[in-house]
Amino acid sequence: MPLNDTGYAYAVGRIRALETRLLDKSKLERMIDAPSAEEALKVLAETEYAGAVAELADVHDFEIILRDEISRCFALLLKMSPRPELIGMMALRYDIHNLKVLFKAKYLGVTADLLMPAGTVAGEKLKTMVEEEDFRDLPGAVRAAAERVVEEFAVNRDPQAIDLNLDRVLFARLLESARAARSAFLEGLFLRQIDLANIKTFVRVKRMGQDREFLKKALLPSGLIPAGRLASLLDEPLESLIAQTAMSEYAAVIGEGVRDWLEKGTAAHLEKLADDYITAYLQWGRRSPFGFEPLIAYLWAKEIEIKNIRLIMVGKINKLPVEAIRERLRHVQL
Amino acid sequence: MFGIESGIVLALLGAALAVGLAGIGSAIGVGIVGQSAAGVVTEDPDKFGQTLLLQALPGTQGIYGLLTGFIIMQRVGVIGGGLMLDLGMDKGLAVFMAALPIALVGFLSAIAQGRAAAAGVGVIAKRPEELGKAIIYAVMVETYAVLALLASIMLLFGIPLP
Amino acid sequence: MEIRVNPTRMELNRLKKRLKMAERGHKLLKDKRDELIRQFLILVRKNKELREQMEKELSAAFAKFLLARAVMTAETLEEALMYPTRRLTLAVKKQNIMSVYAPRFEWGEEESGRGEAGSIYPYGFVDTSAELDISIETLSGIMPQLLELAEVEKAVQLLADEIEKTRRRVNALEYVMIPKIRETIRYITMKLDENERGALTRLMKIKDVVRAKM
Repeated sequence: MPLNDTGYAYAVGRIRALETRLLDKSKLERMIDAPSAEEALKVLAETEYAGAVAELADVHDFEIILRDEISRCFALLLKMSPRPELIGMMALRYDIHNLKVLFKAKYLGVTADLLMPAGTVAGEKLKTMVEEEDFRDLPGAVRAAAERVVEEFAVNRDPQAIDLNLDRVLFARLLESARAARSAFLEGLFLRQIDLANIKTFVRVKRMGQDREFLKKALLPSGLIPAGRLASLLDEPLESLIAQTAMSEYAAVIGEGVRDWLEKGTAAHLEKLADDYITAYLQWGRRSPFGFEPLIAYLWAKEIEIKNIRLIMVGKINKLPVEAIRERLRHVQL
Repeated sequence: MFGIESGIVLALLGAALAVGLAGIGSAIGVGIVGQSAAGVVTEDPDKFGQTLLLQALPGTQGIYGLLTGFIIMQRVGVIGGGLMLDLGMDKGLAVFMAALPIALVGFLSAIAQGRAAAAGVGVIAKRPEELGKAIIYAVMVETYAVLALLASIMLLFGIPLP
Repeated sequence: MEIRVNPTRMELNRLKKRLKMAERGHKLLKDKRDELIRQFLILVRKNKELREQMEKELSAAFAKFLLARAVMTAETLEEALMYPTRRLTLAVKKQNIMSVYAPRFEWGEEESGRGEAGSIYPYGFVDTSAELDISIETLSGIMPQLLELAEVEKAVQLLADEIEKTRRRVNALEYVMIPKIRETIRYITMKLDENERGALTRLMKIKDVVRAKM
C-alpha cells in the first residue's frame, strides 16, 4: 500500500466540491432554450459565473467572462497542486498560441493584441524573445521549433508553416513531459489527443485536395495511429479510413463522425465526438481519490464547459437555429 | 538485564507497540481524511459536520490500541500496583505476541480506512445525501481492526499470569 | 415670352437652321436614351441575378463562419486568420458603354507566402475547426463574382446618371429649345410680313397722294 501518494488529498477534495458547480446539462439546455442572448446570460447568472455576468456591460463581450474564467481556473489549480509543473504542462498550449500570434504579428509588422493570459511565460517576455529572435529561455524543444520557424519563414513566407511547426512541438513537448512525470494517464491523454487531431487533419486535408507531402507535414508524429499509415490512405476513399480503423479504439468516433461528414458535409459531429472521446478517457482518472488525475479532468471539464457556453452565446447572439447549437453541444459528464 | 526478568520488558514493549503503531496508523488515516475534507470545506463550508464524521472513523484503531495497552498494563500490574518484575521470559513473550494483532492490523487498517474515508469525502462533496453509504464503505475496514482487537484481547486473557 | 431678336431675314434663316439642328439633335438624343435604357435594363437584370446569388452564398459562408466561431476561442480564430496567404491585386480599367465610362476590374491573386502547397488556409489544424475551412473556401470561391457584382453595380449607377442627364437634355430640347425657336421664327415671319404690308400701304398712300395732285 503506497503511503506517500496522498499529497493531492486536499486538492482532490476541493476539486470534488468544485465539480459540483460545473454547469450541468439542464442548465445548458435552459440556456439553449432561452429566447435571446440576454435571457441565456441570465441563466448563466444563476451559476458560478454570477459575479462576472453582473459586471458585464454588453452581451457581446461574453468572451471576457470565459477568458477570465480559464485564467482563474489555471491559477487556482496551480496554487493547490503540490506539483504545479503538471498543471503548467497543460498551460503550454497557451504559450504556443502566444508564440504563433507574436510571430505572425512580427512578420506582418503589426502589434499583437491576442495574447492569452493563461500561458506559463509572460506575454511581454515572449514578445521580446520573438522580436530579438532569441529563444534561449524557452525549453529545449520549443526553442528549436521557434528557431526553425524563423528559418523557414525567411525562405517560404508561409504562415501555415508557423502554426504547423509550433503545433508539432507542443505535442512533442507534452508527451515528453508526461513521460518524464511517469504518468501513463497523461501520456495516454496526449496520445489520444494527437490521434484525434490527426484524424481530423486527415479528413480536412483530403477535402482540401492537398497532396501527401502536405499531409505528412500537417500530421502530428508519434500518435498511436502511425502518421505514415494515415498518409498512405490519402488517395483512397474515406470509407477505407473507416474500415482501417474499425478495430481501433476510435472506431465509433471515426465511423460515426466521418460518415456524418460525408453525408452532411459538416465536421461538427466528428469534432464533437472527438471531444467527447477525451471526456470519456479522462473519466477513469477522475475517480482517483488521491492522484492529480482529477485536477486534469477538472481542467478539461472546465474547458468543455467554456466551449459549450461560447457555442450557446454565439448561437444566441446570431440567432442560429437551436438544432445547430444542440448538435454541437459537447457531452457533459458530471 | 536490569536485575529483573526480561519478561516484563517484552510485555511492556507489546503494550507500547499496540498503543504506538495503532496510534500512528490512526493519526495518518485521520490526517488523510482531514486534508481531503479541508479541500471540500474550502469550497463548501456547510459540509463540515458530514466530513468530520468521516474523519473520525480511522481514529478508532488508536483507541483499540490504547485499550489493548491498558489491558496489558493491568495484567502485568502497571495499573493497580504490584508490577510483576519477575515475569518470566516465556510469559512476557506471550503478552508481546498477544499485542501484535492490534498493533499491526490497527496500523495498516487505520491508513486503509483513512483512504476509504477520504474517497467518501469525495462522495459527499457531490452527493451529501449519500453520507450513509460513504460511511459504510469506510466502516467495512473497521471490521478487521475489530477482529484484531478481539484476537488480542482473547490472547491476553488466555495467558495465565500470576 | 419676350423675344429679343432682330426681325431680319438673315436672322430668320439662321434660326431655321438652328431649328433643324435642334430637331436632329433631339432625335439623336432620344435614340441614345432608348439605347441607354435598354443597356441599363440588361445590366439591372444581371445585377439582380448576381446579387441574389451572392447574398445566398455569402449568408451560407457567414453561417459556416459563425459555427466555426462558435467552437473556437476568439483568440484562436483571429490568430488563425491573422496572416493572409493570398494577396489580391486589383487594377481598375475603363469600359465604354454608350460613352459612359464604367470601371472594369482586373484582378489577380498572388500568394504573399510561397507555401509550396499554395494553400488558401493560413493556419494549422490542431486548434482550428474544419468548419472554418469550409467558410474560407466558400468565401475564396465567390471572390470573382463579388468583384463582378461590384463592377455591374457601379455601371448601373453610372448608366442611371447618364440616362437622367440625357432625358433632361431631350426634354429641354423638346419642350424648351424647339418651341422657343419655332416661336421666334413665327415672330420674325410675322414681323417681316407686317413690315411688308406696312411698306405696301405706304406705297399705296403715296400713290393716292400723287394721283390727287395730278
